[in-house]
Amino acid sequence: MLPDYYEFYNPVKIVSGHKALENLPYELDQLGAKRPIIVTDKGVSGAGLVDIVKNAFADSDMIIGAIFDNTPPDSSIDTVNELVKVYRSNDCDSIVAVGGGSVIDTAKGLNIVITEDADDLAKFMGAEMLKKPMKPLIVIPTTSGTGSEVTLAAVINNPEKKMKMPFTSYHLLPKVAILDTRMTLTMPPKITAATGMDALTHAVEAFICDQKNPVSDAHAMVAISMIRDNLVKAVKDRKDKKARLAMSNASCLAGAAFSNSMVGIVHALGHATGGVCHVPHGVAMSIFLPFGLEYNIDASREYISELLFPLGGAEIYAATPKDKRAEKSIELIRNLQKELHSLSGLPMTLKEAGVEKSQLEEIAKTAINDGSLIYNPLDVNVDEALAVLKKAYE
Amino acid sequence: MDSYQPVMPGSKRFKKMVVRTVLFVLGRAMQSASKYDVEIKRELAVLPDNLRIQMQILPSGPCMTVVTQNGKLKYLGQKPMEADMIVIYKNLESAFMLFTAQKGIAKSYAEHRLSLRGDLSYAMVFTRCIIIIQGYLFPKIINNRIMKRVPAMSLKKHFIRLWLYSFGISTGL
Repeated sequence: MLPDYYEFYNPVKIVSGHKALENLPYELDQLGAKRPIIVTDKGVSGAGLVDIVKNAFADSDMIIGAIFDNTPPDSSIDTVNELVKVYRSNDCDSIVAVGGGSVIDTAKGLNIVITEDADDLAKFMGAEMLKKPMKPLIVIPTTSGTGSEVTLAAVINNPEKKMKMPFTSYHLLPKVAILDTRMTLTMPPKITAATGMDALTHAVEAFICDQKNPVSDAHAMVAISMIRDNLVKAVKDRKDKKARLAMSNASCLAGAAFSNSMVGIVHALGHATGGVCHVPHGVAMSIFLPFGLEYNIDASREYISELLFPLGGAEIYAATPKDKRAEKSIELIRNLQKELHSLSGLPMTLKEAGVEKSQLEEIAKTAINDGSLIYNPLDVNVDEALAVLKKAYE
Repeated sequence: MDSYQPVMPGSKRFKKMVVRTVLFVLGRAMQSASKYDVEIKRELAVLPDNLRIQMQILPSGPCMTVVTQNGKLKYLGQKPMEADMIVIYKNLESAFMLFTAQKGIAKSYAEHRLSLRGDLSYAMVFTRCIIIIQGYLFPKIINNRIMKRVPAMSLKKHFIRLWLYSFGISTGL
C-alpha cells in the first residue's frame, strides 16, 4: 500500500565483503581525508580488530591521527567532550568508528560538536536540528545488530542531567559503511543472538509501523530473509564467514529500513527497560518482539501476515491459511527465540534478564514518553504498556 | 540580451489567517483546559515549571507559545520568542492540514511534516495534551478519522467542552 506521503533517504555507500576493510584508505581519500581519528572501545581493541583496521593503512600516505578506545558501553556526553579534545589536538580531519552502537553514536556525537563548533550538545537535541554537512565519517560495525552505520540517529547520555539526548538528522548519516567479515568473527554466541534479534526487530517494526514506505519495506523483507537463513548458523559456528557477512548485511538493511520508517512499541519498551534496568538492547528486543506484535495484531494483521513470507519461506507462507498467517509469523519468531535460548542462553523473559517485578511500573511510565510510540500502529498508555510488560515478565 | 528578473515569493494569506486563528484557539483552549482536565494535569505534572513550548510554522510563521506554570499551561501569544522546546511545521500546508483536521498529529509525524528542537520525551507529553484538546475541539466523527484512539468523553468532559466553547477559549479562564 502506497502511503499518501513518505520520505526515504540513505546516501551511505555500503562496501561489503571479505577484506572490504582494505578499501578504507581509498574511501577516505575519496572524501578528501588524510588524518582520521579511530573511535572504538576496549573490547574491540582487545579482540585485535583495531589492528586489522591499522593494517589496512599499510603503504598509504595517510596517518591515523589518534586511536581513542575509551568509549563506554553507553555513549555519554563526557566521552564526547574528551574525544573532541583528542580530535582537535591531533589535527584530525575525519572519523572512523570501529565498534557497535555505542561507539558509532559517540562518533556521531563527536561529529556534531566539531562541525557545529558547539559548547553545548543539548542545543542540537531533537529532530532535524543540524544544518551543516558534517566531517567525513566512516563506520566499520563489529556487531550485526544496531544498523547504526546507516541510521540518522544518535543517542548520547547526559549523566549530569540524568537524561538521554536523542539527535536525528540526515547529516548524521555516515559517508561509508564497511561490512568486513573479519570484524564480526569474534562475536560470542550470546551477543550474536542478541544483536541478530535486534536486527530482526528493526526490520519487523519498520515493516508494520506507521511510517512504512515501499523502499523501507523492500529493505526490511530482504533483511528478514537473511536473518532467517543465517542467524542460527552464525550463533552455532562463529567462524562461518558467509553467515557472518549475511548477518552484517541483514543488520545494515534493517538499519536502513527503520531509519526511514521508524519503530514502535517494542523499541519503546526496550529503551525503557534498558534505561531503568540496564538490560542490553538486543536482549530486550528479543524478549519484547513477539509481545509487541501481539499487541499490534489487530491494527497490523495484514502486514504481520506478509512477514510470514520472509520469516518462514515460500512453502510455509503458501501452506498457511491467510487468516492464520499473522499468528504463524509470531509463532516462528517465538521458535527462533527458543532455539537461540538453547544455543546461547539468550533470555526469553524479563525475569531471566534480571528485571525485578517492582520495576515494571517505572518501565511502563518511561516507555510511554519514548518517541518511537508515535509511530506505533496503536496507541499505548501506561496500563497497556504495563500489561505487555507483565506478559513478558515470566 | 534578455534580462532575468528575480521572482519574489508570494504569500498564502488565507491559509495563514486560518492557521493563526486555530493557533489562538489551541493556545487558549490549552490554558483553560489545563485547569480542569485531570488527564492534562497528570501529563503536565512530569514537565518542569517554566518550560516554554512553541509551535512554529516555517518559513515565516505564525507561531504560538505556551509555558508550564504550576502544573498548568499559560498561553503566551503569537509573538516570536525563545522557547525550550519547539515543534516545527516544515511548511504552511502541513500546518493547515493538521489544524483543519485533515491529518492527525501522529500522521503528521509519520509523514515527516514536523521536526522538533528539544527533549523528545517532553514532546510526547505535549503531543498527548494536544490530542486531548483536539478531542474537545473537534466532533467525534472527525476525531475518529484523524486519531488512533479518540479520548473518552465523560460527563465532566462534556461540561469542560461547553466551558471551552463558551468562555474558555475567548477568555482563557
